[in-house]
Amino acid sequence: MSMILIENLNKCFGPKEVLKNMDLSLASGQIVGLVGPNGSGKTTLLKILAGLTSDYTGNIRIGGQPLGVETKAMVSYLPEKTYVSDWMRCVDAIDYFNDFYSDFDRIKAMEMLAQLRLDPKQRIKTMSKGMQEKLQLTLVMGRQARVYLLDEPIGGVDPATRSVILDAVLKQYSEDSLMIFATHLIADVERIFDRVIFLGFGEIKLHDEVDKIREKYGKSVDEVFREVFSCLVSL
Amino acid sequence: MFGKLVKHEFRATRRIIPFVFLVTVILAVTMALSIILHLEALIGISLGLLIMMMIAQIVVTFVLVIWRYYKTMCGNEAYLSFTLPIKPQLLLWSKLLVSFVWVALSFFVLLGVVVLIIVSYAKSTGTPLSEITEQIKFFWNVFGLAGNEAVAIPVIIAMLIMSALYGLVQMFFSVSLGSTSKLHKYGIGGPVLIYVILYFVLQIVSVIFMGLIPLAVEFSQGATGSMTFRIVSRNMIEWLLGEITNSAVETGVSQVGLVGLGAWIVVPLVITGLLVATVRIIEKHTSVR
Repeated sequence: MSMILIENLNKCFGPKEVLKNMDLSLASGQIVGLVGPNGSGKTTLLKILAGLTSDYTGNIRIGGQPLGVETKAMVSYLPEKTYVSDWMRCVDAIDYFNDFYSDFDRIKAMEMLAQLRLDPKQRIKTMSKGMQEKLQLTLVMGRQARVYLLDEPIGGVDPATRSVILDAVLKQYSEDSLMIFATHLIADVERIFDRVIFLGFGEIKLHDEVDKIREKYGKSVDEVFREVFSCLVSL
Repeated sequence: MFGKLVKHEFRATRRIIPFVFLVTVILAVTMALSIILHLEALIGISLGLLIMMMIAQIVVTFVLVIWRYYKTMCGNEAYLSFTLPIKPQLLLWSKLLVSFVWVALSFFVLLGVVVLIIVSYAKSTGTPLSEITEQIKFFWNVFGLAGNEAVAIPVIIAMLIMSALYGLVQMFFSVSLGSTSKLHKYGIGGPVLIYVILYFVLQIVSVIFMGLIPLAVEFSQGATGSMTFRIVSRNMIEWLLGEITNSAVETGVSQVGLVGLGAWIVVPLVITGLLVATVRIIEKHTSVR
């Protein structure tokens, strides 16, 4: 059974079509790389799945449910932006999640904070971008969610922090859940992907298992990505 | 979940708003002490500052709750608000409740300040408090409210509650509508533009209803000089035209005054309409930037 089922999804911003007639079915138990150049619709797709954008057309189901309160309880979403109030301390943010998400594991989150060397009493406004990313990752991965949607979790951080974040993601990821990991830094993360979706100009250009892509093209996903999108961009 | 939303809303807003109240209270105490201690030079300065702060307190309270609404419903924090496993409209209700409480507290702080100044003045001049109470009763009588407390007090309270809600709901609606995807390109200008348009439209609607709805309060001066009032089924425009005609033929202006109540019929309708529209926007047209 599909954990995420998308049928004929369309989304426009004014006259611009951001997602066009998209059909997609994803099962649990895999980490899916959602890759594409800037403006390809990755963030829009994740925002729709997370329930942040409701003015779209098409049919979407998560865990068999239409988007709504039930699916929000299943989905753990990490946006690109800092979405926690800057006056909060780490521990306040953890208490907030603990209050609202029944699947949030406070002990696990506090352990993850320690692993990521974050001070629970530190205020978010005094944190660097990398520290904020780590905190938000702690909050998102602190949930025992059925679906994780991570939007550019390594986009704004240095290579050392990228490794720390990826290790934390792999450590916390539960194998019976589905994770969608949107990025354009493919070389850094393709090792963790089971499957990859190439999104370009609102359409799925390629969707397959990573091993099959490597086998078929005889190249890494990053190299295939460059080929596919340099072609599309030059067109 | 609603209780948790309210709890966190108070937690977020209590960091600043009480300090605004505190500044007013400190200025009021300074003013009271300068009255009691007859520090004439300080009375003038503290009175000026206190009046400015009383006005600023209301404005700042409104600005802070609206800014909080904007940040958490349309700004970056909306990414968290709208991914909580709750019906999105609960966000609106929790914010409305907490904002209303702060606005009401702001009003009570101002009321407390006025009482403090009156008591200080009484103490300073040796005026017994009973005399001040008598003065208040006198004004109550002048406005014809004596004997009508059972109606007048609930009506005044209802009007105060509606005024606060009216202001909040207009701003919440403007922020929500101004932040929909079609208005994203205007940034924060979207909500401001919507609010300005809405404000003018509602002012015009209020005036029209005040003039045309045949429901008004009629004031007249009694033989003892006190005002009497009664609710009448009269149209304010007709009455005004009548007054102008009377004046034109030099028959003299009547001793009766009339204030239309039609606008107060519109207020609950507008509050309800804007709330329904805001819920619809939040539930059906969410598009976090």
